[in-house]
Amino acid sequence: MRKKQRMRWIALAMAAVMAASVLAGCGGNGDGGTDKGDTQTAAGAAAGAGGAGASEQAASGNGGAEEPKTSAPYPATFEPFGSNAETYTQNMETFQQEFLDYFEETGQMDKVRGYDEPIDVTMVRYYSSGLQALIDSYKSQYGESYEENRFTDIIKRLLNVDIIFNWTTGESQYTQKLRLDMAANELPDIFFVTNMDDLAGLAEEGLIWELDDLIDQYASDDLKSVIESQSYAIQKGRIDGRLYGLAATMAMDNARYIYIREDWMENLGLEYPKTLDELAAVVEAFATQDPDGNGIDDTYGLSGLSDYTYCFGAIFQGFGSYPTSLHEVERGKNVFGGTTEETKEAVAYLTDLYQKGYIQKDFASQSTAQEKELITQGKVGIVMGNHSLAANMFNSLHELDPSVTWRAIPAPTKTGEPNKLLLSPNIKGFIAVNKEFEHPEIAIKMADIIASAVYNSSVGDWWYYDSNSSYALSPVYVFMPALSNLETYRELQEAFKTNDTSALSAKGLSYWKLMHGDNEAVAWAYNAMFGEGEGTPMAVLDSYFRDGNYFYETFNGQYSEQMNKTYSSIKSTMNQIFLSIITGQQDLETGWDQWIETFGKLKGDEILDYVNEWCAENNSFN
Amino acid sequence: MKGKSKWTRSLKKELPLHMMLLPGVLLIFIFHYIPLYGIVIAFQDFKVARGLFGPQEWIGFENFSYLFSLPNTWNVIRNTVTIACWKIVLSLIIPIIVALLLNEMVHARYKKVIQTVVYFPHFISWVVLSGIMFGLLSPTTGIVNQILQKLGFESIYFLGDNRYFQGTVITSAIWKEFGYGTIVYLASLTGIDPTLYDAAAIDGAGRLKQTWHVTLPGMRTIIVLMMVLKLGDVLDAGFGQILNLYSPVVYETGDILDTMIYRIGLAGGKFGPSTAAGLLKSLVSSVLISVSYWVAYKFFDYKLF
Repeated sequence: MRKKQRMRWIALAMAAVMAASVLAGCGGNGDGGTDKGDTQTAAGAAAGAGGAGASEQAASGNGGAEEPKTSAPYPATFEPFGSNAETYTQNMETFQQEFLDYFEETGQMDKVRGYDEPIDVTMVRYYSSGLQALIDSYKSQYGESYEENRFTDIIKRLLNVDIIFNWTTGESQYTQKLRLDMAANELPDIFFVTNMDDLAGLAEEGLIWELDDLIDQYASDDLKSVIESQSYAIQKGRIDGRLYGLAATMAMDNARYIYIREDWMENLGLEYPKTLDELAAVVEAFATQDPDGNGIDDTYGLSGLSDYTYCFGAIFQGFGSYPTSLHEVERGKNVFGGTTEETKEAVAYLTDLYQKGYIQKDFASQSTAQEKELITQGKVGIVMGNHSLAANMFNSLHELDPSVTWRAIPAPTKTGEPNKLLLSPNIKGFIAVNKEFEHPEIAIKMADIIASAVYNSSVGDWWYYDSNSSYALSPVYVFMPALSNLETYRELQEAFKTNDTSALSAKGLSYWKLMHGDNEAVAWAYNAMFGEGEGTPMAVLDSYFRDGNYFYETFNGQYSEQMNKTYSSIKSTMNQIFLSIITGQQDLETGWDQWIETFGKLKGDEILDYVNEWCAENNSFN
Repeated sequence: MKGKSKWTRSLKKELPLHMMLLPGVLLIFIFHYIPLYGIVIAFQDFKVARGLFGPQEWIGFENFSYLFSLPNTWNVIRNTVTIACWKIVLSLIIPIIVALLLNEMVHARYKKVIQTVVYFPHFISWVVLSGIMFGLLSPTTGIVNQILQKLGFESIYFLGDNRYFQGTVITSAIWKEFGYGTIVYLASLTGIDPTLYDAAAIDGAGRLKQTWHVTLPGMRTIIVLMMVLKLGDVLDAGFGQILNLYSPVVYETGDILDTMIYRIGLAGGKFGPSTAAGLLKSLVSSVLISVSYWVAYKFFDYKLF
């Protein structure tokens, strides 16, 4: 009896503990919430009192009326450690000194003035899969981490600003997590918005700062020149004419190249194709004439991915088709590229190649890794894509068999004369500043620091472009000039001629070092992209620009309501129907009619009207 | 007075049991009932920047009409129902057959090995399994197609051809899960009174007759239970599986409600329509589960609650 009673007590106690732990879990969350709330009340309370009042107050705060008592450099809080800690300390000091000297000399010091009292800035960040490898290497060399690195360090030294990351997450979850913060009204001070719609929402609700005045006042000459060169992409951050998100710009001079295996061409004694018919002949020869000479019929002409409008982009371009973009066909008249006759021809061309078995049969469902596997096994003769293929897709094959080389050619056309490249803005997202944050200018100052590294620092190649990836660690993301690839290529060609690296920009110097570095595979890849000779993708790009064969995507504004509703469905339906045509599940005419009908049903024409209207008002690019 | 003291007495006696129930109830309440608030999004023009509790605009059933204005919606519903129905029927029948066959086995050791082997795939996640399937079923390098080619057939693009995709999905899902169902049915078989078999044998029933008149009726309760539980899944065609296996080339036959909700809501950021689709799905599911429960009660006299 007694034993039974004891058992009951024990059971009761255990149940109580379990219940308590469940509640504790929630309590923990609750506490976390209030903590965060507390840190934000300083800024939040003022804003709560009334939006207008708060912004006035903050605006007078940025006026910079008070004289600074101290000046940069501020004491660093990050102590490097690891095998290369000395290099770190040295480079950081050089960077810091050059930065201060430069801004003093050019009389721009007011733009990047630090703060007497340390200021905490909350931010959030994402990391890509490649970044982890970089961090691992930096951790052992310099002791850097996601939270404390060359970027947070320099911002502390120059501005007396401490960056606090509320959270970090993988790239794919970032937009989701940020939306949760938006919905819960817990936005960080400075953050990166990846989605245009979200930016528009934030601006409409008055949750973020308008940046025009801040840029006027605080952007350095270098930053302004990046913004100038990217005015086309920067436009995307404008809502009703005012700038709410500073676009983190990437190079927009990207083409889709066709890479052909040089050794196979030699084995079969073929000419590099200039017309689409010639290309089809090469594809056929690669698929049927045993180009690798092993006596087995195991090769494909062409491989690809389900994102075929991108990876077969060169073929579409060859026909004069730009299937996923809105562009002008004549002054004031835009089309959606997917509906043009040229696109239909390109789809028919691909269908023909696929039906004959020259395109790898399961291209539409394979992953990048699977495609790379086929390339590495030496089964693919032609691959299409952007200039980084040498570094991402061909590198493993190179390690196995260094004699394999690839040659990039411009998109073959019907006549053999090269046609035009379509340039689209290329942005990672937008930097936005929480309206409740009292020092919105800090965002611009951070961007100043980065622009300075790109343009006038002797250690910028180490600080920002190290291994062509250290910039991914930066809290405010990339700022690249619009024609960054082309400019880098051209200055590198100069350097090859003179063997003099003193004129190279930070990016050029970093590439130069990678090309001449100890890592043979990396050096090979960079030479294959930016090196000397005719067969590089960059040489192809250069030829497009030399001949003026490029034009810009015309529509660059906010989506209309109708676009928000159906534009993405239009694109995905097109993708689906074209794929079913190419893989032979539907014949060309039926599929094409169905697609045009769907385009109408999804109010494609209404979207085009809006785009035409928008372009009439805003466009000055073509 | 007397009633009350009886109530308090029984409460005192059962208090530990209630306390033990508490954590589970709390968890369900916090993670399943409170989030139900999110249903309001289905009737709003939801803008994230305004916040979940912020001043959202109410638009009635516009999200629903938007959903049905999309060109693929009916097709997606048809796919969902087709795939789910096949899965429900097969995942009911095949485990029963396998359980009956295993039950007839004499070697206990052999039986256990088979039981474990067929149960095993249940533990592999679709993320891993889809990678294996892409490898096995590839029309160029996959072993399945190489065998087909050796036998003189054309290679089949199982995961990229609309004619084969649904079949591949259904078969692989059944293959992965039938071991789990088998174990449930095997367990119910142990509950059958062995003397019934003796009695049937004396009456002259052979193996087949014994199975039909003793084993199956003995399993009836559990079969009905599984059926009732499964019917609620008519609109649930297996999100994890399809998401990992499909690609745009097979959207026509492979896209299901859940993947569509995922693409619209999470990938496209349109929370309103996506919530509306989710709500619709839940409503249909709860109607179906109620009906099947009623049928089970009416015809099999089976009561779950």
